[in-house]
Amino acid sequence: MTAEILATVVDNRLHAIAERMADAMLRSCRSMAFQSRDFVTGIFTADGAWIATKDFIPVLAGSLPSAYEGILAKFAGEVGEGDVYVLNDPYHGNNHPPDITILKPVFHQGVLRFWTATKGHHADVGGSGGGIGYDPSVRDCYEDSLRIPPVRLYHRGRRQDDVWDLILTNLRLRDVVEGDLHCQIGAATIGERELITMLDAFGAEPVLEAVEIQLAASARHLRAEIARWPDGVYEAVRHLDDGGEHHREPIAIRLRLTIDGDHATFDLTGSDPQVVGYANSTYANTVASVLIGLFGVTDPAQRRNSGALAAIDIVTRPGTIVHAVEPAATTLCTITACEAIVETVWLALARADPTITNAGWCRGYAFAAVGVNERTGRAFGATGALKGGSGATSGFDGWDAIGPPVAMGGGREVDVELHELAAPATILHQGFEIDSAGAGRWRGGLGGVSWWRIDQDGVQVVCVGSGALAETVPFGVAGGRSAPRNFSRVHHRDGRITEPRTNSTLRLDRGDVIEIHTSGGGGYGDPRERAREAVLADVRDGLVSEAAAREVYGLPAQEPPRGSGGDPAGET
Amino acid sequence: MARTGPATYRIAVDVGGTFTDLALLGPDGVEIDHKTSSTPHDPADGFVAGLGALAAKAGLPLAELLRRTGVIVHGTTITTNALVTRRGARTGLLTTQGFRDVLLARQGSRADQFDSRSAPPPPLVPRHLIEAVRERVDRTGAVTVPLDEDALRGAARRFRAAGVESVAVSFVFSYLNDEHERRAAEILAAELPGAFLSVSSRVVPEVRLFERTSTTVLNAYVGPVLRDHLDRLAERLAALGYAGRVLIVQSNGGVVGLAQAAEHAVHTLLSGPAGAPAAVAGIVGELGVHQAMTIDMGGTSFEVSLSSGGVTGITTRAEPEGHPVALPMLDIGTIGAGGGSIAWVTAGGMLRVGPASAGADPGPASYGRGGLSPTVTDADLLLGYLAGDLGDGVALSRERAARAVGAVARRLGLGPVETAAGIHRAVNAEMADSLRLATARHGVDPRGLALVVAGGAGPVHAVELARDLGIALVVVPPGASVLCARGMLRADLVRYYVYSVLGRERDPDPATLGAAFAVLEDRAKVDLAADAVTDGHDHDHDHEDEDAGAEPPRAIRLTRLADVRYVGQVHEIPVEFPPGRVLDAAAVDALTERFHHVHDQRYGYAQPDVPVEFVNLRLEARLPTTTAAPAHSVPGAHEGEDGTGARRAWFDGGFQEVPVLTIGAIPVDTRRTGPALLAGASTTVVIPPGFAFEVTGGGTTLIFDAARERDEVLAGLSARTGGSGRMTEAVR
Repeated sequence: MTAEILATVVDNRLHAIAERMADAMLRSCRSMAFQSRDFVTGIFTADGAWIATKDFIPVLAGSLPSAYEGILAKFAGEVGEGDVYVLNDPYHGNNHPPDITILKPVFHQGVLRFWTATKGHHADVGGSGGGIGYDPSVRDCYEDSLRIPPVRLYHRGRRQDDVWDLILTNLRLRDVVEGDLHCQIGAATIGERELITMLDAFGAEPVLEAVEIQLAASARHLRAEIARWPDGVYEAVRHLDDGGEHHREPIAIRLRLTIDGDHATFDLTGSDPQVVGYANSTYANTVASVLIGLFGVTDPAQRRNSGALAAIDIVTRPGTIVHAVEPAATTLCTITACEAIVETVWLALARADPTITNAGWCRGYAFAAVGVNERTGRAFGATGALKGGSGATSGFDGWDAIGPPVAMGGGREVDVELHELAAPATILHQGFEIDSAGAGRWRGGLGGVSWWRIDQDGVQVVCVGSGALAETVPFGVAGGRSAPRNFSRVHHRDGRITEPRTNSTLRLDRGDVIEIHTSGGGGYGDPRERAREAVLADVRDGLVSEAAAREVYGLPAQEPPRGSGGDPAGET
Repeated sequence: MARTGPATYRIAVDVGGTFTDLALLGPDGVEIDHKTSSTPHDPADGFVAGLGALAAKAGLPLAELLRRTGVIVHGTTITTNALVTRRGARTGLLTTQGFRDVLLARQGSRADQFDSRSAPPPPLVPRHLIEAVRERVDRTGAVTVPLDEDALRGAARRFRAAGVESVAVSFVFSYLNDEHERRAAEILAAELPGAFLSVSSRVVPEVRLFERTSTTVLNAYVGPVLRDHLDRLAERLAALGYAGRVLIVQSNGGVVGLAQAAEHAVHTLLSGPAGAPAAVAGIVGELGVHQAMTIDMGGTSFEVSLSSGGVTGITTRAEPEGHPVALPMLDIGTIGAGGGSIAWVTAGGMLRVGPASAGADPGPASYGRGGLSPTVTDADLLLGYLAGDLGDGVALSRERAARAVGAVARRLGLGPVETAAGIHRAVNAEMADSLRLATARHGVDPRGLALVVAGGAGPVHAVELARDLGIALVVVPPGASVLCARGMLRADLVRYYVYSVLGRERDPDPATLGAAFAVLEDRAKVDLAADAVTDGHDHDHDHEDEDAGAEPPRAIRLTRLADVRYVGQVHEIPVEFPPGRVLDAAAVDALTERFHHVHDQRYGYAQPDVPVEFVNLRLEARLPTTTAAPAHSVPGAHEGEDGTGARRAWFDGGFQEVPVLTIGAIPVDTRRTGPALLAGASTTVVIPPGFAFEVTGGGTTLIFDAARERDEVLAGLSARTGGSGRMTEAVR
């Protein structure tokens, strides 16, 4: 077998192993977050090259390399067989605190050859608590969460009980987190077993040579993609709605994208300074977000690894919203800052050539509740709302209810029945909302409307995200329209109706109902050029109103479409 | 139902998209088979034509054969084809108000995350045919909002006006309380006479609204198609004077009677390959092999299943055409690699094979039907593994293959033959990766398995696949192309029952579990008695289930399982209760122990200090329809002319002159060594150097490491060291 062919074989095998690890995690996890696939797996070489990943939630994947570097900065030279390392601290290379990284070395015949990594969003990482780690009231990283610097959970195969105790003692949901840490370590162990089998089969030297070939091919692949884009300098600005309770102003992220032949430079140095509050992005998260922007518009066959990273430069300035320094809080960064960064990439590319890009996707906008369910006596952590839609592309409508680009559709909504069995809440309604998509020749995917009733007193609910301002709605491209904004209302059982502020905490009681509207995606191209039968089908299916069909899509008045109507929502 | 005396015939008819395969089991135990073209416009035509040919081969007039036949077992892909071609019934969905989009939202996911230039699979029910009515059952099973019957009648009228032929009903928490679904079905039956009704609490009474709704909608979508087909078929058979039983093959490998088959049509969606396991069980059982992995590599697909002790693993997760089904079915995984898989080079210069396929049309470049892309078949041809024709008159063009592969070779900077070898190697590795995942999910080590290869392109690749996976024995059955039909002759009557524990009680005690199983077992007894077969091939039922429960008839084999997880986990593992009539604390403890072990095998850890909980109780009830051993191949039934030849084929980095042997002409039980090419009916078995092969008296080819002896290899696979008896619970 030639080296080129072995490279293909090894490349496929590594990705199969990353997938097998993810499969094991998915089937043995505890938290609703893990169930909804809020985790990733990865494989590194002994030298730290990131070579394979299963990226259910891509924003977790692109920050694996810096987590690896953070751990190795402390333990290089003393790594032993049977070690397991853990990290959640954003100032030691992690992306944000709720995503705990597990790293396990893989030895073959006594030599360190690979590392397996898993990272997932935990139900609880201490700190002030909030909803699944999100607390809009925190000021800094000390209030944000328990900080776990690189430490060993296992040392040469021996469980470090003192370290486990130190971590778990700080958590409210210690059983759930302990189970999910085992789930992560188990998956890393599965990966270790499989990698050793592969090394046995092909030998270490040929495998490492194959990995080098694969990384070089990935770099060439991405360069070939970039070379197709028009050279030039393209700028874009997108905003966060605010930074949490202590910073109620929009925050700007400014990108200057330079395309020069087969190389691209993403310069974010012009972005606003970091803020007091939880919206700041770590450098690791910013890199992961630029990669989503990039991989979201390049060939889906492109491998997402260290090879591809070699084809681009990302420039930031420490102390800004995209490169926070201690003691900034960062928990929200995997949602809002990530989305805004991705949007700057797609908007800048739209200025280069709209056929390359995506119109704006919905922003993450969620209500998260944690506590102990009085009915079951068990801890729960839950979010409830149908997600928003994705932006249209040249030739395709966006996808309905697929959620923000943070996940690129890799997550999976928790089933309504499992949700209600676990959480003291009843989902009264969860459906698409008519006219929630940005109009266009290809329209955005639809957003949703959800009605969520709280079934016990004193439940803490956090409204997290952005997209509730005119300047942060999903943008249209090439004449396509933007989508409406995210918004919500609370129908209190005493009859009051309030509008919760984004990034704030609510205390709700039995019988209170939250009404949540998530935006659709932005449209692509002039809506008047949309195929008439597509407009009629949307009207018939109750996705576009008759009024919008006439006024926005220009359907002639003598063609009276009949809709199947919106859906009566809520039963307050 | 006619009860015929002993010593009658039994017939299996497996109707696929292209071919209809038939097998006949005579009173003397001899089997005859026949292959004919399918007739997609009305599959009953091909069915009846095949019966005529079969009768001729048996030397009987058709009427006489049918008069002496007690049972016809029928496998059909008609529902699968209806789904693939989207020619199912015009279907409506009735659900709980507030959940109109439960299906359309696809749980917010996209399989190919980074491909924004794509559209989701179109739904089986368009949104304007989804009606949501006021009603609600809560998480305890209590009715909190009564069913709005007027609104329901309004929905029914709109369905009628829209020409809906079939309605799925799926309400929130209906698995806990089916009152509203039953009432809705009554009203729909009155308002929409003749419409097919598919009700979730009947089709799949299990937790998870999305999967339950998807399964129920699939049942509604394909139900009328199967019902109409079976009605036509029954008429045709009656007109021919047939008075025996017709049993329909299910995705779970078992068979059911006509009425139940139509009502639960979704159970036939994945029944295409469902006959094979029974045949494979017979073949590996004769060899004394305990665990087997069966692969079937067709032009566009590659199917894999695992069996242990003759029983094929069961799954409750599948997504035909992207639509989830949550029903017990044979765990036959599908992998997107086959002879038609296209080789290509990324912009970065890496060779990839698949997932795009040239399919059968236009097919590989060498078919000369307009396909220009280099495929696995083209590579296999250039390497000398395939003969110059497909055996059915299609000549393969080496020149076209070379041209197509050459384009990839230039991109890689390799020679054309080197590239063909690379494509062959890469697709083998990719298939091995998939098989590793399939086995790992069950906690099974492939090194304890035999690899059984059913037809198509499989035998060209199987020996190298086995080598990659560390599998010691490859088994190529005779007449692999009618393997399914032969398996159907000996399919068991099988029923699966489920009782969802979740949301009912916190900690059910053994007595409660026992009572729940008792209810399921009573249902099983009644259901199986209704379909029991008496045609002379069913005599001498074994009685090995003495301790499996005193109540059910002795011949029914009952297996009790629980879906178990650690408290707080999301997913569960099906684990079998130890056999025994009493379900006591010791039985629950034994099951729990087994769970910890299986968990470590599959997921890399166990937490013995953490309590476990039960999600579902499952009962499998199995009633054999025959004890007939698999008959030996009818001499000459499949083989071409005798004689050997030779061909240049690529092994160990170069071309060698390699003998080509016809399987039927190879002396039985005689050891030979590779390299060799064995010609079968429509494929070639490739034996690389370093491997030995033997053909058994039954016509089965065995391939193993040349450094070992056949008996030694078989002995290594016969010990029950690697298996616990069922794939659902993996290794001990």
